[in-house]
Amino acid sequence: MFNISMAKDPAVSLLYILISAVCILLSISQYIFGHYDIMFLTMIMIGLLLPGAVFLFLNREQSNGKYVNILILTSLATIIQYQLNIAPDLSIHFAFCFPIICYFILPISWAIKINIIFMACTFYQVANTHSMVDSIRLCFMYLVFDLSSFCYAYINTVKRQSLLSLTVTDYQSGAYNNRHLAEKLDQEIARSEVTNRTLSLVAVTIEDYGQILDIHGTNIGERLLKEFHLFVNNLMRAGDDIFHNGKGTFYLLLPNCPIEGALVLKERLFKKTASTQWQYVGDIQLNIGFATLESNENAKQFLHRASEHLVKQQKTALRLLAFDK
Amino acid sequence: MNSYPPIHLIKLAYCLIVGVGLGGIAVLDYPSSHLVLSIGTMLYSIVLIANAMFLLFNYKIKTEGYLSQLLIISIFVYSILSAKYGGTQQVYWIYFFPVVAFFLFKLNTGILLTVLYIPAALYIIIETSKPLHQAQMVLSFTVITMVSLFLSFVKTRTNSLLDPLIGRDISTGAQLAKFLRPTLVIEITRAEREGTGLLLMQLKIPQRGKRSNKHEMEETVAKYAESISKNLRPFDRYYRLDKQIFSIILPHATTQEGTRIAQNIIRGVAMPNANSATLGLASLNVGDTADSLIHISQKELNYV
Repeated sequence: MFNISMAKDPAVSLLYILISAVCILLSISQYIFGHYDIMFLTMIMIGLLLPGAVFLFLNREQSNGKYVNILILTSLATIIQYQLNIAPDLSIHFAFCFPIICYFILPISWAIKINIIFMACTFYQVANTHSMVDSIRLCFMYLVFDLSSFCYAYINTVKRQSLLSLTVTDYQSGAYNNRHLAEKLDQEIARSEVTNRTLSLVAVTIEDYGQILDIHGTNIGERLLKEFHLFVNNLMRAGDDIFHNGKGTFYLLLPNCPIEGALVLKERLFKKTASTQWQYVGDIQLNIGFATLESNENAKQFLHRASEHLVKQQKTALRLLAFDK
Repeated sequence: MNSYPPIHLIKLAYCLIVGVGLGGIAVLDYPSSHLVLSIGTMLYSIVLIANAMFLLFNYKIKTEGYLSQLLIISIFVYSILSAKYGGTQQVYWIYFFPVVAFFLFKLNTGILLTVLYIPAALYIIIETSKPLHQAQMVLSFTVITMVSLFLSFVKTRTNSLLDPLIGRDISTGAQLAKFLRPTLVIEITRAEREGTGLLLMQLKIPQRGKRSNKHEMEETVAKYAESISKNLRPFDRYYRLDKQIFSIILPHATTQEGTRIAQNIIRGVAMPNANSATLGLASLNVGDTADSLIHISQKELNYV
């Protein structure tokens, strides 16, 4: 289940289900002790968590999960605050669970905002129901717990970002990533200047890739990108490199390759694509843009020119290569 | 303060806030609770502030995990102590244990520590709380443990997914050894197709002295790496093979050019024994493969 992608939606669904299961046991104990008002609130929580888990699991390939989580967590926060008003000594234990759940499920910026509001409300309620010394002690413990959860989530996020900055491969497609493209372009342009050899860059997109994502979801989209990367890789020479910018555009860097070589590659790509049955989506069509390095051109200009040609190609109905004027 | 990494600043701020806050709690507890608890809280506060000071002035020194072990043991002891002497008002410390265990340790160790702590947590809950509260506290402890476990699981999974995608060595910026052979195969094909030269250079860094420690060695290696990256052409690539060995691919280069680049690299390292670095060169000849080039350059390195 966790090998689907980098997304953690399935894990969030599972967590909601587990919390619901624990809440069911809790509501049984509340029933036994005759706390029907609190039991009713716990059951509302179960009613929020279980459908939320099912919805998130069914829509795990869509991008609206964040908003569903925000809705569920703000509703939970409201219930906990209401419960704090009824039974403060009991419900403060529930309030301790909230920060870590929030930091795990939501993006850190959203989690910080919601937690600050929740913490302020909790402090207000604790101050109203406890003596001053007890309130200070309790609020401090809550603050420390909130800070611990924040540090855990923040350090995880920073570590993940720093690891991502060290990666050279795009996890969606398996091709080299955008950062490596920038580095490699600089290297190859410098090399081309030293050796006086041609350098070509071909930009390729799968037509209507956005629609494929909408119809089949992100997981199928990622699988198609992986399949397409392997497909293109088999058509290239040793020394050529393939990159993916993370947004559906592949760049093929062809050292020592003049325009004629790129044209041959383009024809082979069109021909092979048309005769291939793609495992997940059936037929696909390509848009191809192209640029050969000009003298005194830097990496940015070179990349921009290839991308511009691709956009020109996308705007035309015919599958022709976009040339210079 | 600008050179402090963000993670370090967060740790520092956390230790300071919690340390100062615990000091305040100890003062509050002094008249109302048992003296032992108040002293324990104050000691804990001092430990955290001392750790903050340590982080502030010695942040480059690694503590090899001793601090983590000390912290987890102290939370274990403190949560029992505070519940025993402070009663219901201090029972909340049990929620910290799973968070800290999963944060400071690897997934398996975190699970083991939390499982070992469960009897202690149940004992604290049963001893200090009313029956209705016990169920609620068990729920809170279970949920916090579950989320900590999930966080740790996601962290481990993310790291394992990203690990094979990482291309560079963090401390030196050199590419990882696993990329040397595939790149060399490609470069040999290109050199043969284009009819140009190709050179593979191995550079072994000398030790500072017999007693040089790990930290000093890493510093030396970083200096060499900096000099290598400064003296290479944009299309040359360097890899860290071993702790002390760098391998450099020099396309379109002859042995003379390679030697000149190596001299510049050694000159660029401002260290007393930089000249004692050893060098192994292998130039591409007809019939050479990636393995043979690596073998020849390593042989040269050992021969020197």
